[in-house]
Amino acid sequence: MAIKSLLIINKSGGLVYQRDFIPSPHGKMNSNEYLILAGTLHGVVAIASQLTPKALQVSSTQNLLPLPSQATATAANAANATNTANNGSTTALGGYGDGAGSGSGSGSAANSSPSAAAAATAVAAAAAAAPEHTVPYIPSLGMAANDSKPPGRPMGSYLAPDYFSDSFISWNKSGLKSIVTNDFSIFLYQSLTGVKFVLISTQQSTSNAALHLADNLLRKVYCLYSDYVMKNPFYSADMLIRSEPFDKKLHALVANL
Amino acid sequence: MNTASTNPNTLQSGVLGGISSSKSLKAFGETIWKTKTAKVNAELFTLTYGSIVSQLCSDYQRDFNKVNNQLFAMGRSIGVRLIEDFIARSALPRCDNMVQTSEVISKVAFKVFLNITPHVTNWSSAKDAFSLILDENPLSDFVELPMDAMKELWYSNILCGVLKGALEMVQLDCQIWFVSDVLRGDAHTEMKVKLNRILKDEIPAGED
Repeated sequence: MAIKSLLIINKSGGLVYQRDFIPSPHGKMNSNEYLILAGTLHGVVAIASQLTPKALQVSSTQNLLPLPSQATATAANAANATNTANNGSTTALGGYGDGAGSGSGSGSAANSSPSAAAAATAVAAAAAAAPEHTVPYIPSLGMAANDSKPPGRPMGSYLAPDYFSDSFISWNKSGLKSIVTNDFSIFLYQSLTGVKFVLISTQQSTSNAALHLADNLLRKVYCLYSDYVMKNPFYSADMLIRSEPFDKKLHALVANL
Repeated sequence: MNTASTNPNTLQSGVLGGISSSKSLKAFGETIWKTKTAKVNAELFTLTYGSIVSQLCSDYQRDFNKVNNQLFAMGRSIGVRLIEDFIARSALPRCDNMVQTSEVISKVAFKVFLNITPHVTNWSSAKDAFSLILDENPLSDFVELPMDAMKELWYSNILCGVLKGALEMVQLDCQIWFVSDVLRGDAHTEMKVKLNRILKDEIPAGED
């Protein structure tokens, strides 16, 4: 998959980093529009995690079962929230779609879902269907292929050949994980501390394989973030990231794909 | 430097299958430290920390309470950043209870960053407070406290700050302090960790 763009959203929902890798022929959204997109995504993740299909609510031991009298009200609330979610994502995608000259693709996140539930819920349900949330390790993704240097060479504070080499668990269990439109897909990766990494890719599938690929790649971006952003003494928490080394490493990672 | 003789895939699945299995957590921490973490000479680290503490002591005119507080504050701002490194590196799931948290701290976190594995003991009856016994403390190699600092200075107080800051970022509001220190003539170095409360509201959306 080719990567259009990458965003980093801090835990309070503010955009701290945005970089395009493929310049859009139809011009770029301005930074204010990106800020709104980031805030909306942050909200949609929160809403999506609140909307769980009934079947999963019943099977979950942690969730309290709603009383019969409350069930209707809950359903109504859920429907309202669903509308909000749809509106939210349509607005956000519409903004991007206008910029890319593809307004037609903007609403398809919601349309692609066959059921009455919102697309966000459908994705959350699909995620919950896999009980373990384990993301398999995809070897040498984004690593220099013709690298003759031996393993054990430092890359930042990590050691070559790769940042990690095991499968890992996704922390984002019931939130929004991906959005697919006619022209692009959006993948989300959320860390335990609430930092969100958003990938906009030209690929139009959110199959499990694509999701795993995106999670692997975004964890590597997280590794770079923990090295080149968090260890910069002049970076203050939750502020905009302006870091030359981080930019360079990120471009190298994406270029190696 | 790199001696990856074991297969990390099997270790990892063991850890993720049941985080409580402390044996595999230990192996997991060791694998990360051995094969995934760049290393520097520990003496360089020890001496750098020593120069910071001695500079602070002279800056604060040997008011060791102020030095303790300053070290704690410095540690805290390290911790809130270091937690990202730890999580990105290990990708461990969220801990369900303080027992798991203590295992992860001693067997993975201390191993990866300081290459030591403190003992966990002295559990409170509610299982919300425990002690970390540091048999070896790389910060205090080569150190002998001056007479006037013996009663007041917690030499490695930066560690308390680091733990405080890091745990706060994963929504565990804890209180952390030193109980005893071999530098003060005690039998062992003991650090106390007490959970105040879990910041439930701040747990990111999307986690169950």
